[in-house]
Amino acid sequence: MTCAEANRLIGPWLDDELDVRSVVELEGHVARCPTCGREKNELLALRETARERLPRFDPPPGLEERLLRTVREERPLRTVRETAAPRRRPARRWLREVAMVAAAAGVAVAATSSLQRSTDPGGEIVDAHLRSLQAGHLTDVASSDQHTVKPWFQGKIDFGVPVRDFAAEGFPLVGGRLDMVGGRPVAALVYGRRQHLINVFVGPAADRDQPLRSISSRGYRVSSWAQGGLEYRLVTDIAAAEADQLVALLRAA
Amino acid sequence: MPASTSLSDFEQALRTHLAAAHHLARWLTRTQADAEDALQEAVLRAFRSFDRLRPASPRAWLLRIVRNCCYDLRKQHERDGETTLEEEALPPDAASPALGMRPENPETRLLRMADAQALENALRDLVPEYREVFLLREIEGLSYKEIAEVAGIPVGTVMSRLSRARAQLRVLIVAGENKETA
Repeated sequence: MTCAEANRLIGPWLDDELDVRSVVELEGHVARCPTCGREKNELLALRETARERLPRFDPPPGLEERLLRTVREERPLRTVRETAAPRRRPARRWLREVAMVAAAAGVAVAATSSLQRSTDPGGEIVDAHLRSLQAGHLTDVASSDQHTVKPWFQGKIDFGVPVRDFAAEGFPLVGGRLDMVGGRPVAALVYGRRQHLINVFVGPAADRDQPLRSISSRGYRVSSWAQGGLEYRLVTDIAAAEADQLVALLRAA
Repeated sequence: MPASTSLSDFEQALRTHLAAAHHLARWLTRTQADAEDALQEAVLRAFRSFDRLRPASPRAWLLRIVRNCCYDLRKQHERDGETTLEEEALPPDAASPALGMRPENPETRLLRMADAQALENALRDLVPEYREVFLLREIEGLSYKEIAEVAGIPVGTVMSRLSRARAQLRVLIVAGENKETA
C-alpha cells in the first residue's frame, strides 16, 4: 500500500467505513510509516477536539413547543386548502377525525346536558354545535370560497346569508350547512381556528337589531346578536378573546 | 385514527431529533433567528410529507429537510442582497489549500489543544458543504450512507468532502493558533 492510498483511507478507517481487508492492510502500513501515523493522530486529535470542545447549540426553551404549535396550526389550514381543491377525501377524513376527537371530548359534557338544558340559555346552540362535530355532519358544502358557499344556500333557505372568508385574519372558512335550531332552519357557517372549529348560526331575527351578548355554556362560548334582520349565534371552545375577534369581524362585515 | 396517530408519531420524531436538527441549523445559518426560521419551515415541510413518506430513518430525513431549508434561507438572503460572510462556491478540488499538507508533530498538539473558539472560527470559515459533512460525521455520528442521504450526494462525494473538510480545518486551526501566539 502506498502512502497516497493509505492517506485516502485513514479517514474512512477512523469512521468505521472501511472493509476488514483494507483495515488490516492499512493498520500494517500506518504502523510502519511515520507520516501516515501522524496523519492518523491528527485526525483523531481533530475529532477529539470537535467532540469535546465544539459549542453545542441546544434548542432554546420553548422552541419545541413553538414548532409543534406550527404543525398543529397547519392542520386546519391544510384542510381548507384541500377542501377547496377537487380532491376532497383527505380533507373529509381529517374533518371526521377532528369531529370524532371533539365528539369524544364532548361526550361527558353531553351526558349532563339533558339535565341542564331547560335552565341553560345557550343550550340548544351548544347542542347544535356538538351535533355538527359528529362524523359527516359538519358541512354540506365544504369550501373556503365564500362565492361557493353563499350561492349554495340560495333556494334552500328564504333569507340571504352574508358569507365571508376570514383566512387572512386567522379564521379560515371551512364550509357551510343547513341546520335546525329551536325547530327553525338556519344557515351554519363553519370557521377554523387552529384545531378548533367555530359554528356561526344565522337565521331571521325577531328584532332587526339586538346588542351583542356573550355567555358561557358547558365550556363553550356562545355569542349572539342581531343585525340587518338576521340573528347570529356563534359557538366555539376557543378562548373568549379569540372568539370575540371573529364576532367583531362578522359584525363589521 | 390514522391521521392523529401520525401527528403523534411526527411529534415523537420531532422531539427525538430536535436537538440534532437545531444544532445543524445553527451551524448552517448565521444567527439564532435564522436557524429558527429554517427550522420552522423545515418542520412544516417535514410534516406535510411525513404521512406519505413514512421515512425509515426519521433522523436523516428530518436533517435533510432542515439542511435544505437552511440553504434556501441562505439563497434568499443572497437574493435580498445581504452579504454573506461565507465563500460563494465550493473551491475546486485542486484549489483546496490543505491538500497534500503534512503538518508536523507540534501541529498535532495544537489540534488537540485547540480551544473551542479556534475550532468554531475554523468551522465557520469552511464552505457549508464541507461544514455539514464534518458536523454530521463527528458530532451527530452519522454514517457515510446517512450523510449522503442528508446532503443528497453520493457516498463517494461524502468521503471526499469529509476528507477536504478535515484537511482545511487542520490548516485553519493551526494558522489561527499560530497567529494568536505570534
